Amino acid sequence: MTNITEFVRVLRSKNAGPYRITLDLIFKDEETYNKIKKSGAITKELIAKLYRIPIKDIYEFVWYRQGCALKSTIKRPIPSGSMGEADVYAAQQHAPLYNIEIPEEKGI
Amino acid sequence: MKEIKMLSPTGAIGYSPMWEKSLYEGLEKGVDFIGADGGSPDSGPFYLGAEAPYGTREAFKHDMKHMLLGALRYKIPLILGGVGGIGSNRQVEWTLDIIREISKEENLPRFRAAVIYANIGKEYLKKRLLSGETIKPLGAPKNLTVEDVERSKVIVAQMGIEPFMQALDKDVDVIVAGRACDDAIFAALPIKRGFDPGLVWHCSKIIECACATCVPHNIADSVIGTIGDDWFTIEAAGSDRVASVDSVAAHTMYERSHPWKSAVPGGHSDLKDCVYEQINERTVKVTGSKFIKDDVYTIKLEAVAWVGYRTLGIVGLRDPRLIADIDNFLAEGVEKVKRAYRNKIPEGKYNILFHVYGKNGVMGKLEPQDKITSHELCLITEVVADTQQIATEICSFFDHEMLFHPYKGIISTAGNFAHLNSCEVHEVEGVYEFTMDHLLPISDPIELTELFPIKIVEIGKGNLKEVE
Repeated sequence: MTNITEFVRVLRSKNAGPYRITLDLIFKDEETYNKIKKSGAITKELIAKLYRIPIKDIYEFVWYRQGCALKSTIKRPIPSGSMGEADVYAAQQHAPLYNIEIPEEKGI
Repeated sequence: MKEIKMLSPTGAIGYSPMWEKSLYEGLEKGVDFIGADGGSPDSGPFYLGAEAPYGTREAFKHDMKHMLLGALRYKIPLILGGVGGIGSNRQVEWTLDIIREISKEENLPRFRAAVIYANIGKEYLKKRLLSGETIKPLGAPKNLTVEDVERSKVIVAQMGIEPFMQALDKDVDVIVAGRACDDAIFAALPIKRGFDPGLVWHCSKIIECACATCVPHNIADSVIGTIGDDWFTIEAAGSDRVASVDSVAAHTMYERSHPWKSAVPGGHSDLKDCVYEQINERTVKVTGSKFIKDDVYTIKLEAVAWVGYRTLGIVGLRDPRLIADIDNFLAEGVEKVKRAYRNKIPEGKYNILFHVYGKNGVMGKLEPQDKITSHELCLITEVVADTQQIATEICSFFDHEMLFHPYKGIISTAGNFAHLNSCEVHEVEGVYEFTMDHLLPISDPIELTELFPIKIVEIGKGNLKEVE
């Protein structure tokens, strides 16, 4: 297994409006992007598992070749700034993505 | 060949003072106008609810001063939207007050400004809802209700390019607009001059956060977008940063749900077939951006409601037995509060919440790790109540009561908390919540003129005179 950090140059999370969190994985180059996409190692199901959320709470899961990126947008449990919420910009919600491991035969 | 150059000096006016060096370097290159936005609900419901500025007054004034001096010196339009925080009417007036002050201090020549307001009246929305109309959500969980309208404290709508275009027809030097779609602040003038909407909207989206699209990333440093016939380019205005294919493509998908679809008032950008090209070491060229008009024109409504006063307690925990028992400890604390105040303050009048840093303080429900692996925790007790006095009383009670609470296995009897400072509780800003993130259909463009009224003023030597 090879950790996702070997393949990406950006892992981030951010608000996409007050009710959604968008997760971006930007790969090192187009070759890496293509290999990881083709490997099928990262799926909607994997995002659901990493965040322990139901699939229906994943609004978008889109590969973006021009940006060498994968974007997935999920439901925010509490809207930005509402009572009990603790990450107004949703800038620190990406950490579970560090747990993605790419199997050798599927990666590079 | 036809070209238009637009300069964006900051991602949010006054958030942190802009680097004026690159603004003047950019102006020296010859640009057609300066545009900037003042903030957005990205920073939570507070700034709209309190109608407070996004940064300090000094930082805001600094940015306004350099933009005004630059635009008036080079005789180019200065187009501003969402001023003063988010752009409520009160924030627009606050901004005009600062402009008057600058005009006096800097002895600015007399200039004409268009002021565009973006507050939406409750009666107007209620009338539309009561006529049986459905106002659908963008990201909010349900359709808009009369109750949502009634409980909202401040309601604004994001204007598109149309009010800006109308204002530009009135021969003004400066536009000071309330809440606006950030991209529309830049898109209005190029579209008015006949440039391709696909290129204009995409370029506007990229530059509205200034050098956030460059490397090294900085939202307070100027960027220039240049639009031609079938292309646009992005370059840093100053010499300290560069635009790269990676940085521009990455910024295209920044803080939105979908990587290549971007909705704005009246339509959306389709950026799937864009090509990004590095044409020199500092500049990126983009081609292939498309714009698709919506069948029904909509504007986005944004509103917030007041929730309650807030007091925080901030303490550190280091005892391993206390850390091991933290969940029970907090639950017992809540029980103690309820018991003590049962006959004094009804339970519905306050909420007590915990943020346990070192456990799940950052991610809350989304935190996938159950086990605490940290040797110390930070406990933030947040009490939200109908009055500041109740919030502070409950927060204080919790702190004092739990300081010596006998949790399971306790052998440390001199206090359970490491207090950061002597004042144990902190009265902080109140809590608001979003009530609107909905799309309001506009059937007749005349409605836009009514929803976003324009006033023309003349400013000079510290005076502001309404002329139209």
